[in-house]
Order: sequence, then structure tokens, then C-alpha cells
Amino acid sequence: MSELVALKQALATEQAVVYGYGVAGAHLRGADRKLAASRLVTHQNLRDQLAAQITALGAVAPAALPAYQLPFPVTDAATARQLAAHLEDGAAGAAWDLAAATAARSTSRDIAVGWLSDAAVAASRWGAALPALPGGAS
Amino acid sequence: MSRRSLLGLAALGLAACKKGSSPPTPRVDPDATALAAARDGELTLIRSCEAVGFTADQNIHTAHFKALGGVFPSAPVMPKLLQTDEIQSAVRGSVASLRGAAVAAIDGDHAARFASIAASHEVMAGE
Repeated sequence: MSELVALKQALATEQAVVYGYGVAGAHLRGADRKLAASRLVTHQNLRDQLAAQITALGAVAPAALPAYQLPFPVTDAATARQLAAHLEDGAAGAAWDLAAATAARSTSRDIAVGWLSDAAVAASRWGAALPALPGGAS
Repeated sequence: MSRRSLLGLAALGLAACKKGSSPPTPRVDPDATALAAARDGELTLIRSCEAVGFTADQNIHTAHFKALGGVFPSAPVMPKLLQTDEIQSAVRGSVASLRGAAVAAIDGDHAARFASIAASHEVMAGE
């Protein structure tokens, strides 16, 4: 996979994650809602970084879709937390792919490495079981 | 001189080089040093977790070791064992070097593995 393809896939993932956190946040209260709001900002920043990186490579960053299919119905706080963990897990996978597709010491590689750790830690905070290799094919 | 005859000359040149050349050397993995260092770290963690009965962590570090291409030595190799409190700080302390290895890895697959193990260690250190 080329760096540009991986960046576009990573951007598509982050656009879906941002949408998903909007849904999850609506069902959460208290500390969970604060965490969701903080994660939303982190993912928005990452989305913008990825879009800028695509532009820097001379390509056009695809726009987000108006809505995304959720992996399961989100109806309460428990399913909202599940969704958040699922989103972070997906982000870790996209970060893995981006790390694998990029050159040593490139900006994109640097983004991918930080992103993978960030997503794995967040998935754990949402109660996801830690895989031995976060982001790797399980 | 035509392009075809130039190609012929190039082929002759290569043949001449082959006659006097030494046998081809095996390709060196540019990430070999970083991989070996990471494997050594994981082996120490595996043996240390085993010694103090941290079975779940031992299994995770074993998966890391294998993901780095590690094969358990047939002859027993005993790295210096870490005490319980040292295990946690070793895991925490490894995050920066693993992330550095991920950024610097020439092979993308190695980069992803280093980054993933760094992420795993970061989560484990925070638990």
C-alpha cells in the first residue's frame, strides 16, 4: 500500500471515528462524557493532520460522508462505551497500516506511531481488552 | 552504437565482473540491531514475569517476542531477572525506545510492529 493510499484510508477512518464519538457522547454523562469530548477533540486534530498531510503530498483530501453506519445499535451508556472502544480499536488498525506504508522518519510515520499508542491507551480506558499487538490483525 | 549493442556490452561487463567477484554476501536487515535489542528486552520481561508469576503479562511479552521474529533459544539463556517493581519501570522505560525504533525502521512491517509493541507497553505501564 502506498503512503497516499494509507493516508486516505487513515483519514476515512478518522472521519468515521469523529462521527462515532458524536453519537457515543450523546449517550454518556459525567466522566465518560468528558472523556468522549476530549477524545473527540483529539480525533478532530488527527483528522486535520492527516488531511494536511494528504494535501502536502499534492493530493486532494476526501471529504467526510454525511453519516456512517454504526457497527451495532447505540442506545445507552454501555453501548456508547462499547462504540468508543470499537472506534479506538479501528483507529489503532488504521495507524498500524499507516506505519507500515510510510518511510522511515517521515512525517506520516511519526503521526502513525503516536496515533497507535494514543488509540491503544484510549481503547483500554474504554474497557477494551488489551490485545498483544494493538492495531495488528487479530 | 545502437541501444541493443550497448545492452550487449553491459551484459559482457557484468559477466566479467562475475568471474573475479567474491560470492554474494547475505542481505543485511537494516533494522536488525533494533530488532535484536527489542527481542532482548522482551526476553528479559518474559523470564522476569515467569519468575514472579505474572502469567498474563508473560503471555503478552511472548507474543511481542515472536512478533519481532524471536525464537526461544534451545540452550537455556538466563537474562538478568527483574524484581516485581523493576518490571513495571522496564516496561514504561521501553516505550520511548520502541517508538524511536518504529519511527526509524526501514521496513514498514517492522515499524508497525515496533509501534504496536510500544503502544502495548504504554497501556501495560498505565495499568
